Amino acid sequence: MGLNEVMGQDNEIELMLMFSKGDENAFRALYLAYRKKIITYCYRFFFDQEIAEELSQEIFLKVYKAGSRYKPTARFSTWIFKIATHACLNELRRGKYRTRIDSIDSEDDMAGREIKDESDNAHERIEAMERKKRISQALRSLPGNQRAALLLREYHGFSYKEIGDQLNATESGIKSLIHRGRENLRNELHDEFGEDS
Amino acid sequence: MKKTCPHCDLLDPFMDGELPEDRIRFIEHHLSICQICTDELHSLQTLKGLLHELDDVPVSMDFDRNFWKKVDEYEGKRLPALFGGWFARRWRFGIAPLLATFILVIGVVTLVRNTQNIPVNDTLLVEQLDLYQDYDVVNNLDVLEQLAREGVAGDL
Repeated sequence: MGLNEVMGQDNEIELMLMFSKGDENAFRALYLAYRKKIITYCYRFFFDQEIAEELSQEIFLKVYKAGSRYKPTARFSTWIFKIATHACLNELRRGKYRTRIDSIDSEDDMAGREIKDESDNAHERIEAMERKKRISQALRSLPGNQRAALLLREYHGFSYKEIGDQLNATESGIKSLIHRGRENLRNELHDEFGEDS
Repeated sequence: MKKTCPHCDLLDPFMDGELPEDRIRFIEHHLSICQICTDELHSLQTLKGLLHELDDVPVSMDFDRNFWKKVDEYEGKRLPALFGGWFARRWRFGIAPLLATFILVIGVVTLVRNTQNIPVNDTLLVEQLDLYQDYDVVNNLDVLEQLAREGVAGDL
């Protein structure tokens, strides 16, 4: 898909271009459209609300700073998630988050929030809570690149090519990352699968 | 030991919709005859379902306020830096108006000083020019009287 085609289909690029010419309302529209998506992405990287929000603010500030020199080269969503992915991977490399998640009971914190099952059956609710804890632990155990590739694919629907742009990797490299990521997750979550898996 | 099939590698891109049309048809046919790949695909779909059990995260109350505060801080630092940066890059363009202003000031100062240096006698002469004209009339009074007598004074 050529750049003109991308621009024609992507109103978000037009908003960003308006922002680059000084229209702050255009940035506000983009901020509101992506705020929750970016926070959720960061949260699933670290499972820590505070870190997720700090990182998200950094990410939006980078978008704001880049406004005046913005040149569209891909869909806006691909571009902003590339910034988010790099911010998360840098945070992961710094290792700052480790001490913090060790010091708080993040599973309980998450479980309290992530229960959406309104069932009156307490046993089912507890099971669902436990399962979500295991899923979050399994995701957190993945190496950074595998985690990023899987999150971008599973929750945000990016193609292998777009994930390749975001992670500076080839499509075949992304295919391999996603395959290994799923393999690792299934090993971590083997209790959730039937005995034959 | 887990049984494998050489085509299992195609199941991830198959599930993700990343295969070309001919490969999709191949895998669809293959799944109808290979139990290993069928089980593997089922396992991948179960994993996908599990991952989607996680909910989105709510945005905290002060997220927006903190973010816009950071934007304001950035803007507060950026504007003076922007002006300083412009001056650092374009200082040559600033020289011309400075030089023009300097020349103009020098010109005005010189003019004022030259005006003040006019000799005092010349100034008195200019200031009392009317008196000199009257003196001239008084000196030639007899001529004027004679002309009046001859009846042409009214024309003067």
